[in-house]
Amino acid sequence: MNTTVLSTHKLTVGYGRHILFQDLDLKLEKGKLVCFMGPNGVGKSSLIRTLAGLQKSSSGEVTLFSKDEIHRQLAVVLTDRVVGSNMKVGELISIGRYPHLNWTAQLTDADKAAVTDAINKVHLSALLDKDINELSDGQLQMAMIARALAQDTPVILMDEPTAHLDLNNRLEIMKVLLQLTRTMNKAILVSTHELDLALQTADEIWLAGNNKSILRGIPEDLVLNGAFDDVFRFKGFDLRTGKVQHEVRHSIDIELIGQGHELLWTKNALERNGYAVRNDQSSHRIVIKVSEGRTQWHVDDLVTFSSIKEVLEHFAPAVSH
Amino acid sequence: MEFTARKRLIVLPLLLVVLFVLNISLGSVLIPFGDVLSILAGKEGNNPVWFDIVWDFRMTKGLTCVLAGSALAIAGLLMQTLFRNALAGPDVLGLSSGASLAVSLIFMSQASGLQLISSPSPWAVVTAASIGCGLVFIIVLGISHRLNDNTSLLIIGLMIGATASSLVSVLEYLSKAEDQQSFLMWTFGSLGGLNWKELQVLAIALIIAGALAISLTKSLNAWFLGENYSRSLGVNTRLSRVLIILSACLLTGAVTAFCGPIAFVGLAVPHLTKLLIKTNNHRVLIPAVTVAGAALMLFCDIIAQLPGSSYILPINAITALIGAPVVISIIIKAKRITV
Repeated sequence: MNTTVLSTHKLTVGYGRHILFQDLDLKLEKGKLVCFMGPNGVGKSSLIRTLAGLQKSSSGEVTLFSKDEIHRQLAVVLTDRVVGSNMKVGELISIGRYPHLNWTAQLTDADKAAVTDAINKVHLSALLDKDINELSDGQLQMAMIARALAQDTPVILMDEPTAHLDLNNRLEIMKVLLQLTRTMNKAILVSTHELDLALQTADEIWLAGNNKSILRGIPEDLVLNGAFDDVFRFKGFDLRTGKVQHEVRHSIDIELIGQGHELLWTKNALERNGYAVRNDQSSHRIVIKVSEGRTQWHVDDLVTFSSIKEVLEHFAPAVSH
Repeated sequence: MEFTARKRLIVLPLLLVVLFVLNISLGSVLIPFGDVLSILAGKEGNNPVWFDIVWDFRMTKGLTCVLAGSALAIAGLLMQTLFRNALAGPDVLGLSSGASLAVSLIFMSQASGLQLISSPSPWAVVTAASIGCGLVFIIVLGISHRLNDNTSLLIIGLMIGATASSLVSVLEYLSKAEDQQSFLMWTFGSLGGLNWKELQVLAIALIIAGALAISLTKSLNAWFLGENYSRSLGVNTRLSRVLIILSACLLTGAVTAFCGPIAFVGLAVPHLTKLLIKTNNHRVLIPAVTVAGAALMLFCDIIAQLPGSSYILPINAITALIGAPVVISIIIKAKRITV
């Protein structure tokens, strides 16, 4: 069965002579979440607008795999700011039904059901009667996503829907999007800067980088073959371990013994402060013991501390000499 | 599930009826309220002169208020929606100045040696005002295509308005005193000078432009989200922009031609209406501002004729006197103003 819902053939994106992407052959498939990543200014928004038919392509074509009109097949969430008042969340979301309505913009029962459905999908029913200028950034973004859902299209394109949101909201949005691909079989393209979230949720990554091309692949392959490093040129961040690389600044090396989160975060604290942490014989040794809900750090079998801060303070004077 | 408060819609028509009857009962000649009602019911009344006053003077003036107020309110709403700017309005973007320039050309062309028209007919004045209005709007629109920034656009609208006004001044300087006089009276604004024939013209313009606005309900609602979103929802933004402008020009042009450049009604009524009916759905808003505009104009006219005296103040002074404090108070209360 053909699951492709949108494809491009030799698509070139840009403004006049200024070309951002050249000869792209891309496709979006049903039930797949694609994260579109790349440095700022590379042209992600332009590509999304071109795919959505809002901007003319320089050459090449975008094909939707159904004969229906584009606005019944493809919905967008853009970075364009929506400001104003006197519009309730419910009203905003129902605007998504417009491609299905006649000129009077009167909602039928089926339309109202679609709106309610979209609202429930993003858990906004409590805010239905709020004016949109009373919403937080995250809630407004959710409402815009619900508006796109109400449009009831097989394809949804989103331009940085998680920008300017806190971690919780970013996570929530990505979870909702992933769910939509799974439960409603939608094809969703999301441009984002959230590397960690994209790596953990995307079915496929489009990586915009050098040579006006887009590299496609599943997240894990792109991590291991170094494609991300080429594009983003990380400074002191090791994508394979998912951690920031710290320089060893002190002559002291420490053997760390323990388990679980306690081990992980103690190691993090020590490395962040410039100590080398090893698994074998070192000049110092820390044993982490957890008993009856209390965590203790035994340093060199001599002293015992009840917080990581104290451990760091213990080593600090030794270093300053 | 309905997202608009329908109950509040009944307030405006009631207000309109009350103000209309009040408007007709008050004037420089004191006619007892009971007689006004019986004359309105078609009876002769106690004094045959009263019958003529009510039907040929007060009724035409009342209806002019209704038509002009409605038209300006719709035009203001259309422009605030299109530009997504709370300060947009027929008089702010230079539309009225454009109409003034065109009308002053008609009135004063004789003096400046360009005899455009021998005796200004109502249709000629309406056409001139609409064209003047339309030209300004086309210039503003052409620039809006390049700028994409509402604040700059608003400033450009003001500059175009200033240019048109200064051209009017030049014409005034060159023209004869009696031509100036009729133009000056026109700029004060007047709701009382229309006969039934002229009222018909105004009504037809309002009906055509109003119907056009109502047919654009969907586009107008979608404009709230801006051009990109509107297009993604299947709105032909290019066409709807032109039609919205056409409707606004026709409305402003017709009113300005007959009643002079009436300020503030177009700007204030949409805000006042949204204070009462908190929606952005133009299916509700267009009828609501139509009624609210008519009501506000009737109210201003009642004040203008200074009940109990024989003076009639220029309507333009009254609309600004009432409109400006209202807009100021809205902004202070809401800390900001949005469309």
